[in-house]
Amino acid sequence: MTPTQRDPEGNELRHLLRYAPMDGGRVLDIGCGDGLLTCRFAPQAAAVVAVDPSVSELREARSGRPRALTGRVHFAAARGQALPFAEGHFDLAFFTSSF
Amino acid sequence: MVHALRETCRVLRPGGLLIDLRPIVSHPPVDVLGGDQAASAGRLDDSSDSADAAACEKALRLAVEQGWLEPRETGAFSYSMYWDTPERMLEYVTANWGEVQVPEEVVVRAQQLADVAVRPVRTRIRLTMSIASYVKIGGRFPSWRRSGEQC
Repeated sequence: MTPTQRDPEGNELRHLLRYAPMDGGRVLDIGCGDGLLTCRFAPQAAAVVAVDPSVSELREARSGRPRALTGRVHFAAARGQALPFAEGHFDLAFFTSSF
Repeated sequence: MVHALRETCRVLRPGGLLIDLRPIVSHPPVDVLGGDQAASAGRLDDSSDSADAAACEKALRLAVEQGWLEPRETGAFSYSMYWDTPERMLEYVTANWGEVQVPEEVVVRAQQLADVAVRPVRTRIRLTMSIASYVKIGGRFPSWRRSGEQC
């Protein structure tokens, strides 16, 4: 059922990087789903924590994470209403099709 | 939604950026592509998402009014998804997009177009995405859970 291609034109990543230059910052991705977008922008960041409440989506996200991003991208189960992180920890936060 | 925004503001550093990225409710077009041709099969019915979109807008307005966030830029762009067959597109939308409807006539038309299109054939949904950036204004954001508020 998964689409054979999602945004092969690269519009999403291009806009994201224009609106949110990462400059090696710490990024929180809220509602990461299967992590496709997370892994696309992660090379621009120093560290990424990507959260989603769905265990099955997180399983897919972890399995699709390129080996080169293993130490840089961490997937965790969490909801936006209760983020288990310290105050002021992140430079950037993405709400991606979520809230 | 307001709680999620407040919580996000708490974990952002002062001056940090929040990016809100989501589909615009716009009855996205469904097209069948074959060779160098694209033919329209109709549009999805995503009007069921209107209430969620309005709630998101309201939460963001409140965050700005409360002085948690300052608006910076807004824009929109096209986001396309492709499937090998109209059936797979229908399965995906049904399983993943909540109450978004693929009208029966769109499914029938897409299949008719796919049957006669030049191979390889692809079915495309073209979403319009909104993107907006906000800067977190300085100050402390204690967790709403610890401040005694109820979700």
